[in-house]
Amino acid sequence: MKAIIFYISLSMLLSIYATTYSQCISIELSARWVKGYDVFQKDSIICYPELIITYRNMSDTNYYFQKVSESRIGLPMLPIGHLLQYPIEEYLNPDYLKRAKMYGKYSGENYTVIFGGSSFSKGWIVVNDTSNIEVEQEIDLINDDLANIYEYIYRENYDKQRDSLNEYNTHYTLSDTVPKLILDKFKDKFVFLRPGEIYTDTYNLVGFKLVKGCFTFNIIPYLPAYVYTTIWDKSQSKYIEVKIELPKVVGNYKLYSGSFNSNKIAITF
Amino acid sequence: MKMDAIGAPGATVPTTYVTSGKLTGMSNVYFNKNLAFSSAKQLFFTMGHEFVHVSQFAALAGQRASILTQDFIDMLDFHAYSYQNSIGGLQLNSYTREEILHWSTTYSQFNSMNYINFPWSFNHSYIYPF
Repeated sequence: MKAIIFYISLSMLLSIYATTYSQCISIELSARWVKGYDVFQKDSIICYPELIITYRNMSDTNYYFQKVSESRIGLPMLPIGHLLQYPIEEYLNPDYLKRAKMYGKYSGENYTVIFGGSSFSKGWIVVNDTSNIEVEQEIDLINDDLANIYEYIYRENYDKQRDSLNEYNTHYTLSDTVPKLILDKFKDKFVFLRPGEIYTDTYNLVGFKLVKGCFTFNIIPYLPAYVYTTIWDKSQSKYIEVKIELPKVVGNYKLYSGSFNSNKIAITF
Repeated sequence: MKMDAIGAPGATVPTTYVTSGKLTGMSNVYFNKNLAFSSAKQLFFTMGHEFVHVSQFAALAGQRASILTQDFIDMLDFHAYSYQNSIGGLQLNSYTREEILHWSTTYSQFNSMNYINFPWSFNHSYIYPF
């Protein structure tokens, strides 16, 4: 009987410790409105929101961990789920402005914006709240519209900065998860925080303002201790994902994995 | 869909598992009734192009939908348009060496997305049937 009570007490203590431990890291969402140029009329000034992701270390330990979301120079990355067979002239000489302007209107629709999860690029995907997530389905067209808007903004304003090889990678390789590469080649995919430090990333939401709708931004509050690589399986003629553990220590930082504190925010346009 | 607005005779739309964000390997193909059926030849090439994408997405099963960036899609389309070229549908001479080199060195999927890897894409060409 004493042994049972001991184990129950120990379990309770450990769960309290785990809860306290998990509260030492937070990844918080907030929004602010800023002034900027109209996407399609550069001589006009408009106001649009930015999403801010704040990573906060409230522990007394140096931690590093994966970012929950990434961007291309502050622009969200969304998938193109509809492969339209463009006329060959358009394919060879794309008119990104025309593509961007063809967005639909989604007023009155409610969406959840899911952050990258375990993907390499940590892009976003927008899911209509009426979707049955238990069944397979097409990527919602709103993702294409947003991707086209941000592709146009990127090419119009930042194309000359296309120098990062990571932008085009689709997964880690088996030899990528070593401290040297995490501190150098992949440093932008991780957050390194000393006790009390914060780090913020900002995302331009002008595309969401254009397409309209109600968007809830939500983070799955768990940081994995691994990343995925992808291997081509000849026998199955398909790609297979394989987990690779992240180093326990990188430089002066310990790996943080597990749950963290977070919140969600909703913005209606 | 915007197929009429951009003059697209066809489109392929992969499906995903929402909870994991992974591609299922399945996809839906759409034909634009105003363009795809304008002639037997047009339909033949439209179907061929889209079926290359269907096979590509079958091979990409289990990968994250987030890989579907504009540049990755352009790479998939390069193979689909090249297939059309191989069966006599297009004269493609506008790809730059840099573009092809970029895709082939950037994406490990480049070779496996090539139409020559799909068993159905061998040994046929368009023959006018009428």
